[in-house]
Amino acid sequence: MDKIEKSLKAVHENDLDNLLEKIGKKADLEVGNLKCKFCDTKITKENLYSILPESGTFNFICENSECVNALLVYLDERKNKQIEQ
Amino acid sequence: MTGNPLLDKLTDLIFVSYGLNGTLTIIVIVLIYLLFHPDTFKKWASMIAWVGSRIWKSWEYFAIKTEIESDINAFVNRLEARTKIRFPRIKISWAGKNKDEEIVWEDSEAIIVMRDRKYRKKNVVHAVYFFTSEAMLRKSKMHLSKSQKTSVDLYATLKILKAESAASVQQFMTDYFTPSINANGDIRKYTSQYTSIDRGGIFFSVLIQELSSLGNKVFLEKPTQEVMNEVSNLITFLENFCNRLTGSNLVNDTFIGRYTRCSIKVVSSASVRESGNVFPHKKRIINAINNRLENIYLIGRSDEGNKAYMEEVVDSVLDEVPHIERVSQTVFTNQINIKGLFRPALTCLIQLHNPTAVKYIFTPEDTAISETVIEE
Repeated sequence: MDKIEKSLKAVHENDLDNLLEKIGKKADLEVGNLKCKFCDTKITKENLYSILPESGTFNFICENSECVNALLVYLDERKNKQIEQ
Repeated sequence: MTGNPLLDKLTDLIFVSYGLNGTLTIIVIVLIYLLFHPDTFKKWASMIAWVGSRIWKSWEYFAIKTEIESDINAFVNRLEARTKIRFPRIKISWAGKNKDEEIVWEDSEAIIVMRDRKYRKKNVVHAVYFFTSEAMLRKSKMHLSKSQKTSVDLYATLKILKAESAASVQQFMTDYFTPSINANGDIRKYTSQYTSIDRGGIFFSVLIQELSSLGNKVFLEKPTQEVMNEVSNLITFLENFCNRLTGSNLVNDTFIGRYTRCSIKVVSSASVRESGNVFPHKKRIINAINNRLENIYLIGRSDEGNKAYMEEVVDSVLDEVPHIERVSQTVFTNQINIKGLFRPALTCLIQLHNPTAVKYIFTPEDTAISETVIEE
């Protein structure tokens, strides 16, 4: 049987500036304007866990375990909704 | 000659290299081993790349990628041999690595941040936890509650890390496992139950298998709370089964839900086995098939006598009911309850699947299954 392969997108912290510049968020990060989607904590390069593109905007998630768990449940529910539709 | 052209060529190569010198022979044997074990090859490549990355910074990308891919894919390869489920393999792709590269943003496709060599364990933990939840167990969690989902993710990730990256376990416990359990009583309760199920050796081969089967089902009018309650009952059933006293018939061996139906048949009674009579076990299993149970698991000691007897029982069932699929047979060490003390045992598990009993679409009026009367 064929093996299924799923891609996991990752960004190395060395490339964060480049990536954030491409989406126009580098300055926002530097002045502390980016907040975690789930706990509203200020996002920094050190506490950033994930970037989530949604409907043309970008959400940022911090490393707090509750926020990571919330992200995983959120993504799960979104995908289930997409399947149901 | 083995009859396999590739193996024959490799054997010839070993003999030729042996004629040259011993070192070359060892190198050839190692290369052949790695050819047939690509994930081991990746683990070694990752270790070399981590060393090289002290000098060449760009090697770090390769080291992170191969380390995580080999950890997850090696585990999945072993897991697939023990269940009917097909799990995805991971492939890490870097975003933003090249300044001129155009990044394709897909809606709701999260990008995970990876750190440099000082945070090697953290990288493994982040990626394994994310992938286990997002891809590997997604189907199994289709109809679960939030705490059921999170607890399954946490426990499965812990098992993967223990098997493939023991050095990262402490980081995972500190960053995710302990805080999640402390913050949510339901996660704590489910984790305690998984620990019992895992001690019985059937966390992936029965629980995740059954949850995955449930994930394949479609509810035209979703009875969310009802499904979550059923999952909770299934977990309790498996916990009780794994905690039962060896030799006791007091614990139920069959789970009949509206959407999930399975049975675990112990095939280990010395008196029945020594008589050489397969009929009593065959009758129990065929009753389970006639009662439309989807999966029937045979479990018993894995000593040669009992394993051969279990196979005889399975053969006699398949002779009579040929549409039953023999999915897998695995041998593992678990712990069984002997007079109140858990002791290690070598155990054999054979999974039979009854495809004609599987119901994929449930309408609101569907209650037929719950009214089925089970006869032993």
